[in-house]
Amino acid sequence: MAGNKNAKTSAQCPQPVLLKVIMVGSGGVGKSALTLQFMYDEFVEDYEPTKADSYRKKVLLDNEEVQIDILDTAGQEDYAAIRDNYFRSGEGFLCVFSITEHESFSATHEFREQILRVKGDENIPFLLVGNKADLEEKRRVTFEEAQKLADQWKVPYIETSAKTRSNVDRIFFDLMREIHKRKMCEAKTVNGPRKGKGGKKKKCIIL
Amino acid sequence: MGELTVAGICSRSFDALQFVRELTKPSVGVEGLLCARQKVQALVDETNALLKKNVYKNYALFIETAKEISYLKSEMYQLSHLLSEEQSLLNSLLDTSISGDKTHGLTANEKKEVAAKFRGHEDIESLKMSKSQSVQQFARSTANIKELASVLEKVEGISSILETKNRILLHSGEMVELDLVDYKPLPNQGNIFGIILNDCLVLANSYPTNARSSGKKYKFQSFCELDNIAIINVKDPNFKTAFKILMMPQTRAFKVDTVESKKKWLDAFDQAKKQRRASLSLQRRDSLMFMPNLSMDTSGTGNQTSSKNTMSPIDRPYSALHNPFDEAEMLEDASESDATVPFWLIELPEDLDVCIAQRNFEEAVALVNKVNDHFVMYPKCDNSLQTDLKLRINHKIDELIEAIANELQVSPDRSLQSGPRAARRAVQLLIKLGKSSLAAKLFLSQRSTLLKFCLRQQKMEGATLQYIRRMGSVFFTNVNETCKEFQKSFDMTQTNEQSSVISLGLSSVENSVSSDKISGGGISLSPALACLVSWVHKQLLHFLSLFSRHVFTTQVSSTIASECVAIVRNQCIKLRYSVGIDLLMFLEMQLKTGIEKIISDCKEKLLEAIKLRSGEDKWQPQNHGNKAGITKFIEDMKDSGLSCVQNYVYDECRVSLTSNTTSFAKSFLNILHDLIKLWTPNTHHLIVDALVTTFTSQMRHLEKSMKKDQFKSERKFIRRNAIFLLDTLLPLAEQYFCEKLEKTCEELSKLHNDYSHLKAVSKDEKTKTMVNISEGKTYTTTTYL
Repeated sequence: MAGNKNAKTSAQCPQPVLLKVIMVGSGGVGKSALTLQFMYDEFVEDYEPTKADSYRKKVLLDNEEVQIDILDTAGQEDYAAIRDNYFRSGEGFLCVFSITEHESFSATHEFREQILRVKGDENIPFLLVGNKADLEEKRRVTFEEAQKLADQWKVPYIETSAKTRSNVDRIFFDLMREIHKRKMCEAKTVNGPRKGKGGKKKKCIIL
Repeated sequence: MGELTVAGICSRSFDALQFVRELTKPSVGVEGLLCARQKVQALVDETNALLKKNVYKNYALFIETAKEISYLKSEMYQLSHLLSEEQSLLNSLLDTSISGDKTHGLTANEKKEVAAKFRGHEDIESLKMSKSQSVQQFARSTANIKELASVLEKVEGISSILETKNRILLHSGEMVELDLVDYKPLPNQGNIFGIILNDCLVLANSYPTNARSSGKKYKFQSFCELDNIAIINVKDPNFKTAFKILMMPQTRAFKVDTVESKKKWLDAFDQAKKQRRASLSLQRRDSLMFMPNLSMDTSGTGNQTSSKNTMSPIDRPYSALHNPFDEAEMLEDASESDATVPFWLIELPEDLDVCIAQRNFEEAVALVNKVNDHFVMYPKCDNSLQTDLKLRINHKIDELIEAIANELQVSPDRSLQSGPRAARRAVQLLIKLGKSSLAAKLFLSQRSTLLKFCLRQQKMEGATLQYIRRMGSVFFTNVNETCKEFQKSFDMTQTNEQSSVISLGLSSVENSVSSDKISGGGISLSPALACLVSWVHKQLLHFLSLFSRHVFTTQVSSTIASECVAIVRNQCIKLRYSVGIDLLMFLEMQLKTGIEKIISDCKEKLLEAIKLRSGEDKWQPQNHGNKAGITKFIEDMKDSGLSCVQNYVYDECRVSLTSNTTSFAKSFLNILHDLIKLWTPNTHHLIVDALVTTFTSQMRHLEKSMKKDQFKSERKFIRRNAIFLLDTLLPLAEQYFCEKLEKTCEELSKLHNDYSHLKAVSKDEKTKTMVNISEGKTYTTTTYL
């Protein structure tokens, strides 16, 4: 079966690299709105709490076709206990808060901690996203404040607006790039010895 | 080279290297080698053929064995299925135990309630939640029985999972597994059957169609706790019916037929998760309550260890998940990790249940004793399992006590004639359970009911005396039996009891003596004894009220009444000797007015009669007409103890005493007999008074008559009567009194002196009288002839 699949994928175009992005953040900060804007170029005004939705899209990342897998998670507290399970599957995280709600900004600490705990990796691709930047008049979280936190975590901070689509693509692509880069590095380190092994095997067969 | 044969190659000592060396050594040139090659080739062919033959030979055997094995396998499956069905049946039987009390099936939530109450931390909100949840679950579970059955039919190897307690089927259905990368159905794979239970997800894959056994389509594949699962809705216009399940560590994607179906799946997952969270938060609270030293983190993987320690009801199915097919092992583990709670103790509530249902109370009591011993040895109760267990066991013990107590209840459908020994078993058991006061109470109340019944059974018909005799015998026999049984059951040493008399009264001389004995002997009255005594007292009061109603009425003659009193009194005395309980004092107290009334009635009646007879007295000797008449009279007098009357008969049918005198003598003696029966130190003066008054009254009559001129000529005759009364009747009475009461009656003796002047003969008659006395009969005949 495995061989069959391999043959199939290799026969067709090579399967694009899958990059798993997870949207995290408090409820109502606009995770789904950002996702939908990125996926379908639309802004949904209606608010309906998400449970866990998965999206996929093939995109060109630096001239290479990759597939992004977005897991839009639930922000509601109810789901806090099962977030662990989702986080485990993620390769990169968009930690979203609303600049109009300070509480959502404070909550990012918790998300960050949980992610680090689950992934056990300080350098996991991670972006701090301040959404609803179009609502400047209702801003409760200053740019400096957020930037300071991002610096502390050594992650980028980007302000977005799902409504105006400002920076939406940027956060996804930045994160994808990060993940991709990391994946390539890992592949190199992981593939190194594997290649050696394969070579040995081949040698055996030739003998 | 010649020895190149199959046998040679087959031999163990065959060395290929050696063989080749030998083969090449003698050969020179190509031809020899070719020849050798040919030979080897031939050998190979031969060996191949041989091998083939061998394979063929064994092939049939092979197939046979394979068939056998597959057959055996299916048998084993069926067997395990049957066993698990049996188990569920037994469980349900236990749930609907005979007592009707659903104690075995205490749901987790109920237990939690008990525990919460016990701890005094009633969290109303959480209880509400759990209650409503349990109601929901119940409703759902009944609705899902059908679905469950169909699932069990379809899928093999999951019955043990599905039939675990507290598991509820939330959703099930067929799915198609998808490739994670491109969401295309995985090739070469049939449908997957998924089952969402309230705490886990079970997946089963389809059997290869050709190897399907026992008619089931699916075979158990994997099992995953809900806590380790996350479900993701795939939002992809091309795969609208797909969803992903994160099952640590892998992720799997599935698709179902319709969007609606997918929605059902997602909703079911969501619901299961929500319930799980609710129960987990409850559990967390519980574990915090019970074990404050345990870490807060009971969710996730940390949960496993804590659940094993606490074994709180909700945890049970959960920890069972780690080893879903071997619960016994799991329990063993638990008992190992928690050495203070032995296995038998965990099983004990169930065992007790069984014993109660089978009415095997002895066994149950033995178990309870074992538990008590255990808790005495390990008094500390520091974990929730023990607390929970203790609560359950206590509950069971209460049930047991109730069941045994029921044995002692008198119900109309049970025989009412049973003796006290019938109750012994139940009483003994209750005492063993440390419920001696309850046992005493129940035993005595049972006895009193039976006693009442027995008394009611006695027919009123017949003479009062007979009735009272029967009643008395029934009552005192019952009391006697009861007391003996009671003393035996409640371990009052017989020797002590018999040697002394427990007196309920102190007024009588006898009683005060016996009470002295008690204080001297230093016998402490145990509470049980007090119980018994008060019971006997109560029963006696009841009996005596019945007695008074029948005996102290105008219809009952004083003779019979006094006889009845005597019967009862004798019974009391007997009771004192047999069981050592003295009821006389109470008897006297109760009957005092009645007895006094009898005495005074006797007195009044006799006085009345004396008055009547005296008025009519003509001082004439009696004439009974003929011999038969006089014989009858004499017999009559003899019956009253006046056989000496015979001495006064003359002329065959005449008596030289007035009828007044003989009648009085008869009545007086009768009264004496009756009153003696009623004698007590208390009634002594009354009785003596009655006797003296009546006798005096009669003597006064004689005295008066003596003085009357009317009877001047009859003075001798009157004197004769006086002498009869004073010298015959009075000594008789005194003698009787003395015999019965073993003491003389001074008051009666005094009468001799008071009326001796009546005996005194006036001078002119003196000689005659002397003759009279010495010659008696002859004199009388001569005088009156």
